Amino acid sequence: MRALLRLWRWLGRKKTSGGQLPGDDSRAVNHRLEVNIAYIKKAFGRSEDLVIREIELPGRKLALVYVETLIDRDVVQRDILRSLLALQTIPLPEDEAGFNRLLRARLTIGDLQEEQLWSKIITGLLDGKAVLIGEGFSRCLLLSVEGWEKRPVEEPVNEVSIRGPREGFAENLPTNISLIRRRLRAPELRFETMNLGRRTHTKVVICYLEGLALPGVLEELRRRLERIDIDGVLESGYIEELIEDAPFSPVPQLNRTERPDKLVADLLEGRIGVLTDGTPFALVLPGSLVSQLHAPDDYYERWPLSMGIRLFRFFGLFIALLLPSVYVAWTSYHQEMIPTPLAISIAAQRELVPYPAVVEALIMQVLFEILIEAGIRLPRAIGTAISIVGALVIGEAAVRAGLMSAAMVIVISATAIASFTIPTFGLSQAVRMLRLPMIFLAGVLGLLGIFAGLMALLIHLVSLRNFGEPYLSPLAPFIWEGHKDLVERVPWWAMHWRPVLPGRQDLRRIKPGLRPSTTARERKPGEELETYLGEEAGKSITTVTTPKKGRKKRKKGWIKI
Amino acid sequence: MPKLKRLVLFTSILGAFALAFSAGGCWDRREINELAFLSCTAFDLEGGNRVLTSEFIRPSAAGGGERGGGETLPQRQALIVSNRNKTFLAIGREKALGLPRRAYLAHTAAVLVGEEMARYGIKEVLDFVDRNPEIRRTTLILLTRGPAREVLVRAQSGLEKTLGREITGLHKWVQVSGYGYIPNINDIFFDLSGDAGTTVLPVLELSPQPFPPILGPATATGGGIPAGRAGEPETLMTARLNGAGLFYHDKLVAWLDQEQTRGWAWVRNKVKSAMLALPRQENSLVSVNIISSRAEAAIDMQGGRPQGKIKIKVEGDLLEEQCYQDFTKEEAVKSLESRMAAQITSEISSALNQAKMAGTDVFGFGGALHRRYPEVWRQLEGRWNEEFKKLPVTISVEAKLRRTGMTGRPWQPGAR
Repeated sequence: MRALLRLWRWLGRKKTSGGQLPGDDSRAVNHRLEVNIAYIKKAFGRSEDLVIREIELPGRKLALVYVETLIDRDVVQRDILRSLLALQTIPLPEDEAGFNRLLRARLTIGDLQEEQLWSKIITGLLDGKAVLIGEGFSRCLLLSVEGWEKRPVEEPVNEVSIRGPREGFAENLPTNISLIRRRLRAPELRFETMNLGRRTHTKVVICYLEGLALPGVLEELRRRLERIDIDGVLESGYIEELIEDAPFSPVPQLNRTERPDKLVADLLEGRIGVLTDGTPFALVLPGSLVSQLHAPDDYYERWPLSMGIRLFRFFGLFIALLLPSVYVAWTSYHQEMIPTPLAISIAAQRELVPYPAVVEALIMQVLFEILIEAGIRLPRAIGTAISIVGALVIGEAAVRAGLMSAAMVIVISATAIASFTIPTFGLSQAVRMLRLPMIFLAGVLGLLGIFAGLMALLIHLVSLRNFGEPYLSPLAPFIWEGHKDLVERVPWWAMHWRPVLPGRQDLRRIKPGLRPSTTARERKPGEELETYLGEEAGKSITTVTTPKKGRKKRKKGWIKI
Repeated sequence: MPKLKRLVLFTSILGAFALAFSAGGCWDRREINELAFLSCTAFDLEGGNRVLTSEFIRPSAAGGGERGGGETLPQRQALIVSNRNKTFLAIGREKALGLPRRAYLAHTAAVLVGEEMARYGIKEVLDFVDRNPEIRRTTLILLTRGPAREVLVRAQSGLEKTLGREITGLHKWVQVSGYGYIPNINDIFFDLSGDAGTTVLPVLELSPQPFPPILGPATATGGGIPAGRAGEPETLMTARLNGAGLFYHDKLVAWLDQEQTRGWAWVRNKVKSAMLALPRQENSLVSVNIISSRAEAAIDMQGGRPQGKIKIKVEGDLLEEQCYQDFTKEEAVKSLESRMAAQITSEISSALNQAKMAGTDVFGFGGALHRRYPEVWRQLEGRWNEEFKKLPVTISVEAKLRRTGMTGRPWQPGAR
């Protein structure tokens, strides 16, 4: 016991932390150029891509410093070096301010700022800026000449849509911001930048619509992001893990998307996006289970069809989660629930199988997960070979050899197919992983076990909150208005209100009376838009009163969380 | 306080799980391939001993791959076990000694009751079936003439792989002919606990068919006998429904033949469809397909005595005629309608007479009387079967011919 305790302490001992960046101190620029150059050289060590170009002008020494691999060489040569060398012919002002003014006048560079602190200067260098240091000056000039290789905007890979834009986020943050800006030309669109990661200094951008996003959620997000102190942020997943509400939950709590159109739609619902530099996945919060089952296509295609397809998708979720376990429960506990011919047929197929159904299901499931994982990892060239081998081995040979029953193969493959109807990969992974314990429970307790498992899962999901929003809303705190966009998807002209919890700032999102059939000719005198809207027409609504009966009662539900 | 609340919540959830886990568990697991599915079972009484004969499905034969065809006698893919003991349960336990799998009764399709058992009383059978947690109340129940065991053992099937499946199929389609219906255990309980305390069970019997089917005496050249198997054809004993048994309380008291069974079925609204072959002219018949039949049995007090009344409305289509009569004429239709009514009336009165002779009110007049005149019923209750024998019943049938098939006037050679 004591040894265990000691082990516990030993595991929890404090590790000395490194990771102090050279530029982290608050030292300022020295007035002597050599000292400054020496400082930079020391900070970067033997980095081959650091360029220090010294320039001698009449009566003044300058040094241009930049990291060669981060800048646009053309810009440096054409716009900076050439302009600087052109200064050789004219008399230069003596004082620092005058010289800086001259540089501002002569340098053909858009963005330049003066900087005094080394920490900022080093960060600037690593951002791809060029630094101009002058002999005897107390400030440096940071020149924006960034230019690095980037991937062009391409179709999103994981979130495929039939109808909808073919653009997906790239790794490059400015590109992503431009993709959002272009879709959402609202001055209320806000971007807040933060640098996260002690060593990586990754740029993280919060984006939201002022007036729609809840201030409380925003404040909480800022607080959680600022708390992050980590070596590096390489993907949005790092941030997700550090800011989510329930770290041990199997379900993804923040929505993620690589589609700008989806993110914009979420922003319009009052949600908040978090973009991370270097990753094409944006995080959206507050996340909810229901919105992870919605695909962008649902809103682009005809609404009755979308509604039907969504039904299948929700059904697919249950199949993906429960089919193997229900099969196991039925075949090993509740044989009376299977129609007689099917029961006989299953019994006949299982004649040769030596394992109980649970073990069979677990083996199959594990095999299948491995196959899927292999399918993701393996090089494209041998992909087909593996899939054929997998299909043959599992589908045919295993049954022939008496390892598996054909019914089990059918069940597992139907489950696998159903799990791919879930539009977000995170959730489908969660469902895949939850399936194993469900099978186990079914094997131990039958349907009773399945319900115990489902109950536990449901209790967890209901109690889960994400930045204040209940994870199952609008299902679990039952909000009628949310049901216009749940399993159902009513046409746009009927979705008058924003999904209530995230967007309770400005509730109305569509003018009433937009239903196509009510043309001006058909509309009766009392049905004019203005009379319908009453006094509220056009106003930004915080507390809604509508002429319709029953609205008031619902209002209660909106405000309460 | 919140700590206490949490404690309470925690313990109650824990308690719920503990309860759940003790209620069921992996010790209850029974793999589907370790079960012997009972398909059909026969209850017999033989000289004071109970005989239980069971048909277990052989899954590998029934569910497995197709085997090569060929004109062999169709084999049932089942194992039939018969045992004799003092009680049915004792038989079940005894059977377990020789059965490598657990007998699983939840898929039992049908129960057969032998004649001797039925005369002695089916109470015992019903109790056994109903008390068993696995057998459903939707299990079908039938009667046999003679020992039920014989039917179960000897019945061969052309189409289905077990007798149980065969009976399920009969149950589905028999009402089309109108000649019978197969009740389930629940129906029987319902009937027997009714005021009249009577029920009707269909009779399953063996019907010999030559196999392979040949026309006329076998000859060396023809008759459809496959090569290499000349000579006497074998006989295929298929199971078929024929008539019914009338029960007073739980005892078999009389039989109905096929026509009488339909006569009873008309009244109890068990006829979904029926074929009437009616004499029309000399040596020629007209077939009418009944498409709808609604019956109403009522009872009334007239002159201080109960009086029964049966009213039936049937509608039919003309589907076949041998006499080429023009049914676009109204009087032809009218006279055919009256023939339909006469035929149905005779079937019903034949069944009614049979029931009256046995003194068993299978038509449900007793219940109707109870509902309508409770005070009269209280007086007659004890001797209702005697009273029923004397009950005058009027039968009125309203028959309508709705359609005459795809043609109105029959086609005749030379006619345009």
